[in-house]
Amino acid sequence: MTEGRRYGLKRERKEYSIYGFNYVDVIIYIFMGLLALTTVYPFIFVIANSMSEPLEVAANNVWFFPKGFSLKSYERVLSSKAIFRAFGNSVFFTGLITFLNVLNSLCAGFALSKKGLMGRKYIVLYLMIPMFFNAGLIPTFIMINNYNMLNTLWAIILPSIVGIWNIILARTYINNLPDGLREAAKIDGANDIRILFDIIIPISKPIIAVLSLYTALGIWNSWFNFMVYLPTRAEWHPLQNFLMKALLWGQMNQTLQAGEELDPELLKDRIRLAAVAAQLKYAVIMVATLPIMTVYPFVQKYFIQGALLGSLKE
Amino acid sequence: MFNYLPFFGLSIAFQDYQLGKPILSFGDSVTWVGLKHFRDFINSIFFKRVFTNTIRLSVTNLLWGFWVPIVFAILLNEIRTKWYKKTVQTLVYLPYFISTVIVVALLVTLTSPGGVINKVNIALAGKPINYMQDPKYFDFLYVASGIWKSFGYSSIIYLAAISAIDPTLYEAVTIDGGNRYHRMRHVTLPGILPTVVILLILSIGGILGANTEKILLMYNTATMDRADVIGTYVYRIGLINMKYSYTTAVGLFSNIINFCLVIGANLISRKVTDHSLW
Repeated sequence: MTEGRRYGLKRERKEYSIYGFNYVDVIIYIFMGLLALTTVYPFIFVIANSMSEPLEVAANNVWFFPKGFSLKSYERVLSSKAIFRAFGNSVFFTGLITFLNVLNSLCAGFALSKKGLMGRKYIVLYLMIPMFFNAGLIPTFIMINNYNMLNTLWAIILPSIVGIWNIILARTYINNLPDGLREAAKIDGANDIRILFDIIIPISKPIIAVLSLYTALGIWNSWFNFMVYLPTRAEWHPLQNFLMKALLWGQMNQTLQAGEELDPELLKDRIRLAAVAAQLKYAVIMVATLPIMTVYPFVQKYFIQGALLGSLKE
Repeated sequence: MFNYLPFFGLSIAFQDYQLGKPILSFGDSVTWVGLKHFRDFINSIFFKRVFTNTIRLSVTNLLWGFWVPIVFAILLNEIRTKWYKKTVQTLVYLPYFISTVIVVALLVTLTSPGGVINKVNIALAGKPINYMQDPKYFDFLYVASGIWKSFGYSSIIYLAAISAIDPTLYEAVTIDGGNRYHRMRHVTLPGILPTVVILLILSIGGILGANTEKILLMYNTATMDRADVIGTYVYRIGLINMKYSYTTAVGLFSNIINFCLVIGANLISRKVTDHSLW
């Protein structure tokens, strides 16, 4: 087949798949554009508000483009020790738990993928039952309490290490690797630990990326466990709990401060001060979302893979 | 074949069971005491409230949240400008990464009496609506924010199903004189139908799984009547009021129903589509 002919064939194909471009297309394009805009609008709103002039923000004048320019609220947020601590906690828990969880998932998945493992079917069944039937919040809480783990970091870390779904995904992936790899390594005298760390893990990078992404996302965004299991250890609470207190509970305090009589000059400053305080929440949201937004473009590929793997879970 | 490593992996898996075991015996001890707590719950004034709320919120969520990703995926498939499609995809996936706390905070900010949505209300109707304080709007806010967060993510599976459709089918329809509607109706829709059926059946299994964490953040004394679900009730009465055995019974009760639903959904799924979770 000559080059020209092949090109001609392609052209023909393309014509079929283009079907012309009519007014319905225009409607669909505009509709999808609007939909995408609606989806990102809250982010635009927050960004615009976080860097506008505080008085404009307090007056609810900012809705799309920033009005005026001020980074006062960022200054306040970034100089806060509490938020640094909370941010550090988030990084610490996310990193540690993700590492342990994924490592455990790989080990367990590797073990469960061994053909000769006794009672493999039952172990898998035994792992899967909690996915469909768990005891619930209160018994779990009482158990944590009975083991004297309440208000200790163990209460957060230990239960999070085992992710059943992650184990099953890792097992499926390792199962689908060619058997020959393991056999060959065995003949070369490698034991199971070496097979896992030198052969399986290096070629399991895609699944490791997917598992890490979803585990990390889940922990970064979690707050409920920390509230329940570390009730009096607020210094260990991560960013999400900080946000909850600042954004959802804190609004009451602002209303309580209103209505005090002061001389006008001070009042002017006070209004400005209150305005900066009102703007703080946008800066706080930005600080909490930015890490995710910066990582997002790089992990989108794994995100999509994970969505396909995980879609049958729910 | 056996060596340290599988045991290491298994012993951690075993830990989960050990951690879980006292839970089960605790559940047993509740029934051993008698069905008193179960009876108390069924007879209490909260029973009707939390059950109807749980089911209503989940069903509404399912009814609205289910077709949005499908329609979105089908429409997105009609977009043939690559960069445009990619951009739209990237943007609509983004909210999935945002935590519930921030979603609720955004919701509160946008719907507050001085917020953006009420600017429109003031312009049109002359007065703002306090959405978060009005029980009437709770369902809408709950469902809409849920869809906002996850419709992009949910559409991924349908997009994958659509891309697996043989392109010659589309060409055949076009040659036979079919228009866009025909292509959607006779190729795209049948192509993703198996996926749709499986996901629909499986989501029925989760009908008692209203998003407790989100409702905890969203509800307040004004909207409690419409917003209180089993999960939030258990949290409030169990952990705040410390009525442990009673709320364990409540939790167990709903878990048993939920388990039956999941099993039932799976049986149907296996019968209808040959797909099931086990």
